[in-house]
This record gives sequence, C-alpha cells and structure tokens, in this order.
Amino acid sequence: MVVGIKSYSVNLPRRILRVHQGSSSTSMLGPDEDLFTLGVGAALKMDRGFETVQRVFFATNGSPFVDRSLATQLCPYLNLGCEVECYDLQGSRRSGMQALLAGMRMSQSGEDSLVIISDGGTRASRCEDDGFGYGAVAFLVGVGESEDQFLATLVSRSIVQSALLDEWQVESRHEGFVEHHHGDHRFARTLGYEDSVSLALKGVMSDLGWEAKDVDRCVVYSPDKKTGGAFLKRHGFDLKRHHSDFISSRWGLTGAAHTSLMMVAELENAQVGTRLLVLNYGEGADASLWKVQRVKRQGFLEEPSISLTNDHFSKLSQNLLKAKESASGFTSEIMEHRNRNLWQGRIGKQCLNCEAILTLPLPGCPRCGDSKWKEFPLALTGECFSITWEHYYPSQESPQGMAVIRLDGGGQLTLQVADSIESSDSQRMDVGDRVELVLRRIHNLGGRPGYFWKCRKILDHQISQQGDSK
Amino acid sequence: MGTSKWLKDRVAIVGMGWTPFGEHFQWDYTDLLKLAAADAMADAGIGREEISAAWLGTAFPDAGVYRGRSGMDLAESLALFDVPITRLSNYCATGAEAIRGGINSLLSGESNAVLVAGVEKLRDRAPQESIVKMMVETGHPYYQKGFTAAGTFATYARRHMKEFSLTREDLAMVSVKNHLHGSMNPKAHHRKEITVEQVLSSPMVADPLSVMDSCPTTDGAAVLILVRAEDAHRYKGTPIFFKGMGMSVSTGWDLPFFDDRCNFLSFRATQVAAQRAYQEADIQDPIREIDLAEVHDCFSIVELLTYEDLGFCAQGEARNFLKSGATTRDGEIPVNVSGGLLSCGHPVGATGVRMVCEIVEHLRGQAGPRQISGAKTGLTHNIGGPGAIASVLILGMEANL
Repeated sequence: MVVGIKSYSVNLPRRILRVHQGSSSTSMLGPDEDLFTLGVGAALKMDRGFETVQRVFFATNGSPFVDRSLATQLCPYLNLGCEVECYDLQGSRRSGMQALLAGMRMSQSGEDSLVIISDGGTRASRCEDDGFGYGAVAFLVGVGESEDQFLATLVSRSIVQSALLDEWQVESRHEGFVEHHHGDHRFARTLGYEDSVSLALKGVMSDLGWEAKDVDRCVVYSPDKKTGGAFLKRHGFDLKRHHSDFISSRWGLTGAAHTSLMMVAELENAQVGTRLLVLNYGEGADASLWKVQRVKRQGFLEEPSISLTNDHFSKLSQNLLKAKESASGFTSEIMEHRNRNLWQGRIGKQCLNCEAILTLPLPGCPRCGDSKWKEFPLALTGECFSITWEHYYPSQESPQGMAVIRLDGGGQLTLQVADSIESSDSQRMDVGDRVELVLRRIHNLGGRPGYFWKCRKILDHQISQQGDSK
Repeated sequence: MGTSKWLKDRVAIVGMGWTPFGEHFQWDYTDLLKLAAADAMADAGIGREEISAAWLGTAFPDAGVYRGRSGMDLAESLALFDVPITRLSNYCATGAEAIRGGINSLLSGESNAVLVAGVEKLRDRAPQESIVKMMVETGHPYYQKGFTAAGTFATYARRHMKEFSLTREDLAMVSVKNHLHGSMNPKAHHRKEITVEQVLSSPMVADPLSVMDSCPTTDGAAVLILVRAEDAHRYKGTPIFFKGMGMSVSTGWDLPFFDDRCNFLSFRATQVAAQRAYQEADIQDPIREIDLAEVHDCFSIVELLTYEDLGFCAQGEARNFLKSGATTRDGEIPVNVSGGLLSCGHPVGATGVRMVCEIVEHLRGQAGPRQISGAKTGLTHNIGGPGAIASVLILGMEANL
C-alpha cells in the first residue's frame, strides 16, 4: 500500500497588481472573493470527482468565519456527504503544509483526503518591498496499489514546532490587508528561521542518509527575497540547479498557501523520478521529501492574468464604498438549507417525462407539469446566451454584468458576471463566449457572507487548454 | 352576437378619466385616485350610490407610499362604502387585471356598474428609491440578483441584436416616435420631441438600453366605469364596447432566465393573449382590422417585440416595420399615439387602464390633435413581470354603428 498525491489543482485570482515599476506583481482578490471562495474554486478545478473522499482539511490563516469550520462549509459545494470528517487548520503560516502532511498520514488508513489550502494577504516581516497576494491549492491524497498511480509520493518528512513569537498579526483587518508586528529581525532570522528550518532539514535528510546532491529540486519558504536562497546555499545546495520560484514575483507571497503553491509549480515542471525537497517555515518548520511519480500538468502557471491599473483600483475602491451604502435585503438560512443541493451542490433536476432540465426549486416540471425527476448535475461551464450591463445596480463591479448562461450538457442559469470591472474589450463577456461558473460572495446580509455562483469569461488561453485535454 | 361569445359587445365603458401623468408633488395617492374617479364618474354621469363594486389596481404599494394595499384605500379616498372592493396586483399588468375583474363581475351578475381604478404614487421617493430599489433590495437573495427591470428586457434586446441584426438606432427610433406622439398629449409625463442622437447619447441604464429607451417613473391614476351593454345607454358617456380580451400568464418571474426553452426573442404571453382576444373579437387580419394600438413600451425593445407577437409583422421584421412608418400616427396601424409608456410614463397600476382611456378617446373622436380619424377598433396590450403576463383587449364601437 502506497500513500501519495493523486491529483492537485490551483486557483489563483485573475487580477494582478503591478508593483516595482512593473517588474513584479501581486494577485488581488476581487471585492466578491474571499479565502473560502478561493479554496472552493481550487477544489472545483480538480480533474476528478470526490466520490472517494472521506476527509477534508481546509487550511488558511484568514477565515472569513469566526465560529464555523471552513471544511464543513465547503462540503455542500462539492456534494460531500455528512459522513465526511472535516478539519480546519488555522492560525499559522505553516498550516498549509501541515494539512497536506496530516492528510497523507491519516490517509494511511485507506481513505482519500481532500486538502485545501487557501490564504493570502499576509505580509511577512522584513519584506515591505515584496508584494503579498492570494492563492489556493487543493490536493487529493490517498492510498494506492503502486507508485505509478500517484503524481508524487512522500519519501520522508520532519516536523519541528516552535512557540517562538517572531512576528504576529494585529487584530484589525481592513480591505483584506493585515497589519504585522514583529520583534527584532536578527532574532527572528537566527533563532526563528535558521534554527527551525535547519532542524527540520537535518531531520529529513539524516533520516535517509542523504546530502544536498541527492536532491534534484528544492522549494523553500522565504519571508523575503534573500533569506530562503541564502539558507539553501549555506546548506550546500546549488541555487541554479536546485531552486527557482515560479510564484512569488507574479502572485506575491500567499501566506499559508505559498509553500504548497511553489511545490505544485515544481510538480508542473518536474520529470518522473525528480526528488523534491520542500522546506516550510512558521511556528517552527517542516521538511518533506517527495518523489515525482507522474507528471500531469494543470497549466496554471500559464493562465492569463488581468493587470489592474491605478484607474481600475480607484474604481474598485469607489464602488466598494457605494455598494456598502445599500447592503440591505432579504435572505433566509432556512430557505438556503432547504435548497442547498441545487444552490450549493449544483444538482438540478431532469423531468423523467419531457426531459426538461430544471434549475429552479419548483415542485413540478414547468413544461409538462410532471413531478417525477432524476437528479441532473449542472456543469461548471457553458456559453453566454445573452448579457446586459446594469449601470444602476449598486455593485462593487458596476456596471454589473448579468448573463444568461446555457450550461454544457443542459440547463440554463442567469448569473452575475464576475471579474469584469477591469476587462478590456476582448476580455469582456459577450453573447457566444465560453464561460465558467465561479463561487463568489453575493451579499453580506446580517453580517454573514452569502455565496452564490457567478460567471466569467474563459480567457483564450484557458479555452485552448481545455481543447488540448480533450 | 354569436352565442359562443362570452364578452364581445356584452360590456361597455361608459366613463373614463385619467390624471395627467408626471411628478405630482402636490398630490397624494388619494388625490390622484379622487381626481381620476371624479372625471370618470362625471363622464358617465353616474352617482357614487350606483356603483356596486370596485377594483383597485396598485402594483407596488411598498415601492410607493404604502397605499393601495387593500380595497380600503379606494373606499376612503372616494367615500365609497358598503360595496365589495378588491385590491389587486399583477405586476405591470395590474391595470388590465383590474379591468378583467370588473368585466367578470358584471358578466356574473354580481354587480351592475363597476369602477375600475389603477393608481401608482412613485415620485414621493427619488426615482431609484422606488422600483429600482425594490428589485435591488427586496428581491430573492440569489435569483436575478443584479438585475433591474431594464436589465431583464435588455437581455431580449441583446438577443435580438444577435439574431436579427437589430441596432441601437433601431431601438432609439421607437422612443423618437413615441415622444413625437407624446408631444401632442397634454397628459403625458414627457411632452418633448427627441432625436435618435439624444437617445443614443443619454446615459446607459442596461446595455443596450439607455435612459431614453426606458419609461420614466411616474405618478398617475386612471379610472373606468363599466356596465353591461344593455345598460350602456342609461349613462351620459358614449359607450365603447369590449370586443375581445385575452390574458395569459405564460411563464414565471424567474423561469425565463432559468429555462433553456426561452429564446429571448418573443413573449409567449402576448402571443397567447392576442390569439384569444382576436378570436373573441373575430379579428382575422389585425393590421387591417385594428385602427390603433396602445402597447406596453416600458422599454423600446418591448414595443418591437410586441409588433411581432401581436402579428403585426413577422419575427425579425419589427425594425423594418417600424422604419416603414407603419406605426406612426399617420401609418397603417398607429402604435402608442398617446406617447406610450416612454412618453406618458408608467404609474404601474394605472398604465393598463390609461391605455384603454386613450383608445376610448380615439373611438369617441375626442383625442384632439392626436386623433386617429375614423378609428373604430383599438387594441391595448399590457404586460407584467419579465413579459410573463400579458393582456390584450380589443375595443370597438357599438355593434350596430
């Protein structure tokens, strides 16, 4: 019996903001996104179903909920049953890799685990010149008969915990930005980073009797541009051979998701047999050694981004203020619970008599009146059948796009258009465009985020990718 | 009159009155109702004591001044007590629904003379605080969240553009025509002619519909006095007769947007209602047999769709039909000679009743400078919801005239 990573998927915000005169950029959440929607989006991009999943981990450092488990809240969106175990790992920059390693260990009992890591907006200390962004990764891990069933298997790992307070976030969180306080830099770098990561590295290498030359590639969490590379160099790694960072300069530092994002970026570019070392830091450190068994590129590194200009940024800010002024309306937890299969799980109905596909919670078929149904899962992709842009609807993305979507496989939904405010003409959704559904916050009534599906245009690159995979 | 006819020539309008439509900051809901009712009752020469039932159509009391939630609001406005008064709403087809209630009461023998009123008081609030706010804030938390009324119809316009090469200029021409007509109507909300360029350059509401493709939010009331045909000559007003009526609810509020059968090219409710009304009125060729029509042009696209749904032209031909001049005042079948909703405004509950008042004026030869000479048969078309509900009424002169 072998345990390993069966699949992974990545969800990165489409919007990026150029920094440092355009030499690098950071990813930005839209006004209707949060770390929950980002995480759900990562899971929904996975190239396989979740029938085998018995356990869900959700790791983040910035939950939009105070007294709710994100893993539990996520289940209806993936149609996971009530028997699934749910675990949240929060409150540490290291919680992402912790969740992955915990999922690997717990899956040894023979069941698959879904590990979702979604984070961002976290500025590491001493890196005021580095951007901080957002990103999410989902891993499906579990057991199999042979190694070739996996993308990567875990060779060894070592975990070091440390209660060292090298930096901490202040309580207030506004517009997605988190303020940080930190102690003395040298103290943090030596007793914090160096000591913990060295210990974890030593643990994993001595366990195998390996030296730096036995490793093909390295991923190392670095609180700034230099510390990680300098660490590797000190420990005998050749930066040119071992290390590159495909994530930070485009999407920024993504907090608890960062190490795992860098790890899957390596898996995208790896070859079968690659030995990959992953070093992670935060309240101690963890080191894990992975062997690449199979390469199945998801193409996320090539996904197109939309670069925000200062004008876009100020328009977004203005709309945020305007939309806040009219944040009242009707919602009902009871109604939402009653319709969760349709609204969250996208399970429509198909009339057994006339085969009409129903995407509204109606008691009978609106075409033939029959009341015998079968479940009809609604696709996440489709085509824009008609669209308008509402200039008088108070929206954070005004003018608010509203699109009629004919879903692939059948069924129709009319949804708000997401990620539209900064779109150029070619990126702006129009009749006939291919679209994808994305989960977004649609209201915040009573202080509780209300999530629903919106749609956005699939950009050209994504279309060709989908075509390639067929 | 054939024995199979349930309505034709059996119910007559003997009185009608409507307030000017517009921003009536000096008048309350009850004032509007009282003014229109007084005109209608004076027109009929009927006393309050003769009215045996009343219908009150106010579509959105909560988007207005919280009046019109019950028949009580009509009773106290007109001091009309001790009779049944039904308040109803059927979205923007509320006025037509009130008329239907009155007709059926007369035909059932429940009453002998009925008062049908439509009233809406929207301008005590800022325009965006009334109907726009209603859709934004009191709608479903998810379904159609993001739409205003304009947006729901804009999806039809966009689809028509795709299928039939409709342009924004074509849409604008509807508004230009109706404002030309409205400039001759002293009771219209907007009484100025406009140009295509003005429509195109007015602020966008919901692409491709601009402010001038959209009807204004308006205060107003309209009232009819109806009696059975055999009683019509007991009253002062020249009677005008119902020749046919069709009303249909053919989809739901959300359903068109969630049913892949909806092609966003037509309103089935209008087609069904028209078919029924034509059948009752023995209309075979609407263009030749109908002298003028008041149709529900809440947004310019709706008038174009309605040409097709009423059978005035084939599907996809509405733009050419409009361009041919067929629907202007001197055309083959003048449409919205009153100025329509685009020019008169849309006090929701009153609109369906106001349309009938307009036809009555023309059939009586009392429409002043906008009179369609020799008009003998008129049609009204009133829709509700996103085209889900439609009423078509055919009105005409006394059978032996």
